Amino acid sequence: MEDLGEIVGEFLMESHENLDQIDRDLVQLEQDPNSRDLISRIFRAIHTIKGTSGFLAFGRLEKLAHAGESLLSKLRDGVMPVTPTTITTLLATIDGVRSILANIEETQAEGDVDIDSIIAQVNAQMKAGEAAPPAAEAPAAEAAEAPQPLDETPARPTPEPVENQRRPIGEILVETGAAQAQDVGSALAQQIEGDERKLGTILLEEGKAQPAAVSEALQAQAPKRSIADSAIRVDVDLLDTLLNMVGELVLARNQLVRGVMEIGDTTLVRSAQRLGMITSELQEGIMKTRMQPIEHIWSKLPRVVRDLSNGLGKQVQLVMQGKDTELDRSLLEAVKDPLTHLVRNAVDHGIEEPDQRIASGKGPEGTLTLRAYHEGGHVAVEVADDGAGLNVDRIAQKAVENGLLRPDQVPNMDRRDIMAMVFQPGFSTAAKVTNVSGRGVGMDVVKTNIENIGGAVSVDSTPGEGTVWRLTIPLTLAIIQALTVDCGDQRYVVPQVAVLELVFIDGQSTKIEYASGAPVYRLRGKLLPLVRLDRALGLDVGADEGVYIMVLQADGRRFGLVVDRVLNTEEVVVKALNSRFKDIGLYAGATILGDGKVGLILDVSSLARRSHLTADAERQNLEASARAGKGAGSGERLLVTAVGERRVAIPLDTVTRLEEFPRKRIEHAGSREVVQYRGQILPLVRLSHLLGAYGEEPEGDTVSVVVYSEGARSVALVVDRIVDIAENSTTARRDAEEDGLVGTAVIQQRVTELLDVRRAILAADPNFYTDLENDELLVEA
Amino acid sequence: MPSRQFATFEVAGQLFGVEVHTVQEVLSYNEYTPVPLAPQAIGGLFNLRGQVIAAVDLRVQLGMARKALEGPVMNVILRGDGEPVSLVVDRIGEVVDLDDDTFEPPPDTLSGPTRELVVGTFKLDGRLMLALDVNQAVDTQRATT
Repeated sequence: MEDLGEIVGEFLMESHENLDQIDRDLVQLEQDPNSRDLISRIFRAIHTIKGTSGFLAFGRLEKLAHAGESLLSKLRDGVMPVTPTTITTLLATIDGVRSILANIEETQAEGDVDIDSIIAQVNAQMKAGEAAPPAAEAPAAEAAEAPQPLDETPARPTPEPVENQRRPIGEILVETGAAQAQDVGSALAQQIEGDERKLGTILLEEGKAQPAAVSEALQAQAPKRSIADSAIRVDVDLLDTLLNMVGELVLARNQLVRGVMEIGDTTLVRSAQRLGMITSELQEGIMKTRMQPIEHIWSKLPRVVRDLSNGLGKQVQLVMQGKDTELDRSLLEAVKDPLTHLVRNAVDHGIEEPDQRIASGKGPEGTLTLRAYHEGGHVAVEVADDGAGLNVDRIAQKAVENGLLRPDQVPNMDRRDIMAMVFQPGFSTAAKVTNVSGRGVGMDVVKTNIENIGGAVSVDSTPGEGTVWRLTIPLTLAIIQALTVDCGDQRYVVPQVAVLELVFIDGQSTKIEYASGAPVYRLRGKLLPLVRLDRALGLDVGADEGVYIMVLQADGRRFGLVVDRVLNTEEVVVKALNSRFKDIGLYAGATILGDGKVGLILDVSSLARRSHLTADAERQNLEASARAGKGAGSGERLLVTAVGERRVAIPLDTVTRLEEFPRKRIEHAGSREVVQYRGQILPLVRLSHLLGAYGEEPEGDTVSVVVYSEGARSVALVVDRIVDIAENSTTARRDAEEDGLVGTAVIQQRVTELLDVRRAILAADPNFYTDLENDELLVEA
Repeated sequence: MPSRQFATFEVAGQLFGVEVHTVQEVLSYNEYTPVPLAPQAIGGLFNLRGQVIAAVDLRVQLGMARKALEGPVMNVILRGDGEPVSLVVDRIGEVVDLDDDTFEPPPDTLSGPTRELVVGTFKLDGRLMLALDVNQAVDTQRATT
């Protein structure tokens, strides 16, 4: 670039922008073939490239641009219709221009891009177009006029098309009805006679037009691209340097403010506060300069979708929502490839072929929606298609085949967890390998790339209705809002974006409970799995009281992190950690705290993952429900279990614990099955037997049980698996006709039987209630 | 006679040295942030003018018990590969000019973790200095016994 000189550098930069715009416009033109505006815009852009390349003596580039321009002029003059083939030819031309520009950038020469075949293609198009003119008004004379031979040196660029020049103000005023044609005429006559006032002034002073109308006309007269005058180009490296320095400034400010607070001098405190405010504003300003609308990376996608869907014989409409959503430039770069991959994937695998769509009762044209929006300190970017959706069974099967899951894990898994398997390395369910898939970028790479910038990826899909891929991206990389917490005698930093709420555990009204050794907390009735930070970090485990639970959300999962103390929120500058700490995986980075010490930033998603690796299936499902149950209902809460093919619900407040017993621990006492549990003999009752739901015994070395205790007595109800916790807010409820049930209800769109708990308990232990008082009995019944 | 400059320091009474050009600076620092679950040899992290530096405890690297990082501790900050890294030592010695003829390979009787870190022995007046392999010395992934 150095030897190229500024002019060529500027030309390259400008042309790249123009080409991107042309790409977009061409794709749009295909949708809207009669838009003169679009054709003129494309024409102008190519014309500019042609003109400048001629000036800079890039002959081949000029020749190619000239060919494109000739074809476009036919379109503009209405001599040829806009057809998909013309668009394809024009896009090929643009690609040729782009490769030449890339060569110029790299080698400072045009290189040997094959422009002849493109030009031949353009010529063929023009010939075909002339042979079959669009309208019936094909004069013989025009057909006789052969297309201009293009291998001659092209003519010098013609002057700018008229519509780019200023229109006379009088014309605008007459057109908008703000002035009479005769008034304008007489004013013009005055000017000719030597009146030196401007036309607008004459009209105004003679009261022939309204001031507002004139100023409006003046604005309409001004060239449209005035933004170029108010914007400058800045080197990104310079912005990065500035951002780093602001980062240091933030640190210095934090230290200063802390020091000044200790001294307590009011004047100093005031100055420090002012410094703090200015620093914050400066930081915000610098951050803003790095923000760019996501449109920047979306702009290439219409072309991608068009080429791909044409190649695959699919019809896809691309809808973009939230183009203006802004992201830090470095993040935009990092998101570009994953996003393109998701879009390609959606067109390739998500949206079905037209006849298949019609067969399933949809329109032949699929819709691909890109959506970007802010959500709690994050930017969410969604790629949604209305295709067939993910095949959960197939994913599960594939995961088992690849050894990512054990067969016995699958029945206990939440469908979203199964879908998340597609992000595992080496996973592809594509029935056929097309030239689109298998480009070396898999979903695992998408996940890694997004996680590298502190984001997360998730997928949700409804069979027959489509799939939504969701990227959650932090607003910026360098400076984050964080909560500082104490654990042991050290201070740690938790990114605030992950924090939903804080709960203080006093051990009385709020307390930590244990489900089979796994700590949980009842957060508004839902069980929240807990991770003790001290345990996760391998430190001495502290008490369960007088601690805080930070309710965190990561990777679409919610969990509670138990810490000793929550201190305050602070803006921290993220410093990368040395590679020697990568293997630990618990730290997202380090930062310098206000007191100058180094603080470790916890990696919330890896904490979540780490805690879930050890979690047994029930727990995973319980949180799945905690997740699903965001919309709080008012009905009673039910533990939904699976018994054979049936779903059986047990009121959650009758559930004391969920346990999993090794099958071999089940012993027999008389005709009953029992297990030894916490120094007691716990009678078991199999709901499948009780309800007569005969079927295959579930495989696996363990059985899932629901423990019910009252006083010192407990019984265990054996179910095939725990499915979910749900609110029973439905109205569709029937009384049961079957023994052992109190009724049926529709929960989560499935018919679910409500267990008669009392009867089930008596089946396990006929003497269960005999020691209890009668009124309690009534309550239970 | 070609000679090389070494920065010397003591760990557990033994004099060690690294070539001067590998050293960025030497300083004493008070506050270290421990990194739970990190390799044993990581003494902690500290703030060097806004940069986060990992302190590698040379004692652990040499197969000794780690030393509690309390009070001022001497750090030899090595330029490292791309980013600085610190070696925690007991005491800083002088910078010495050593002729190559005072160099000998490590004695055969030297064994254990120390053997892996030492590239040779320099005979000084009255004592021996072990020259460290800088990369090995800060490699915390190395299995330490």
